[in-house]
Amino acid sequence: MKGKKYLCDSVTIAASKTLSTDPIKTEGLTQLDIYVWNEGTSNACTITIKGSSTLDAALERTLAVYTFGASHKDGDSVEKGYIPRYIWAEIVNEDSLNSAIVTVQLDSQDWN
Amino acid sequence: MKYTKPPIPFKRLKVIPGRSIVLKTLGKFLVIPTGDPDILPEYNEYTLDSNRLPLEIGTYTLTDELKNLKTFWIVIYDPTETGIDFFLFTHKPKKLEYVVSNVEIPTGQFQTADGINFITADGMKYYVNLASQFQTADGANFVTADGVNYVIKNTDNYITSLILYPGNGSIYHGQITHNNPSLDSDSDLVPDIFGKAPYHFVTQDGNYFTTADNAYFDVLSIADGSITKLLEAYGMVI
Repeated sequence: MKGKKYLCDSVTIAASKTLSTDPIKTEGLTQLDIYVWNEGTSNACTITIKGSSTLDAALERTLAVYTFGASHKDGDSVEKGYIPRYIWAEIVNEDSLNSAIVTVQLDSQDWN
Repeated sequence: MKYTKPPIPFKRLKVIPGRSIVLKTLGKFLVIPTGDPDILPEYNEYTLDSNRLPLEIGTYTLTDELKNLKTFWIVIYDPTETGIDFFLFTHKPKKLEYVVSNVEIPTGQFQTADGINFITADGMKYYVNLASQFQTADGANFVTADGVNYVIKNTDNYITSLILYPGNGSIYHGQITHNNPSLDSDSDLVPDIFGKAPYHFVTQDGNYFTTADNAYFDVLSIADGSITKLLEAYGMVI
């Protein structure tokens, strides 16, 4: 049984605005899936998934980049060995007219 | 890409050092990062205009051309798809082969003789249903004199194989998602997914702000650069 947590859950990002989510601790997970979707009408919304070994993100690395149009979704597993201690999302709505409504969900069998 | 989607950020391919690995692909563009779009134009680098380089059926081998590689990655993608596959080499590849083949594609669109998509008065496109056969007006299948059915086939040339040579190193395969990989905002033939474009400062009236010698004030900013954003985190940006 997998448990899930959200970096953001149906959060609206207005046109030409950005959002950086709070980090979630993923240290010690043996498995992690990421699901990302945009339910908004933005045609250019880039969601970058980042990880760090420290909460202050002094050292960060990019795990994935998704550029979505309207009503677009995707999902990935994180390769073993690349699961960071902390994970967060940086969202840029590059559409100057339309809002994005973004959800970034983390699933792990280690969260029951 | 015909392989299953790799985990993020990428997955190490099972290769034997010194041996090649053959990957089945379905790509239109192969990007090789020499950093200069004029160095390898004949090898499809940074090329989106199909008139500049239509894919021709054949097997192609790159060796000398790879000497210009600044960082060791290649990208293959189909601009009509949203998955963009990249391969990272831990060692500078000395050889790369790719095969271009004619592939049957599932749908086609009616076009007029000048290559323009034929649409209805209300803007709808006409599509060809490839599952169907030509029929006569009475609904009977139209056959040749020897009884063979006429069918519609829609084909196009794709890069159907990549043969990668890891040398004594390893190769990692990753994929990013982009809803519009062919977008080229500044029309420089480098698609935005590889973008790293300078922005010019503008004054309040919308004109570019320039110095006394007419130079621009620029902010170096990534226009989109989805591939760039990912690869730069791993020291792979040109």
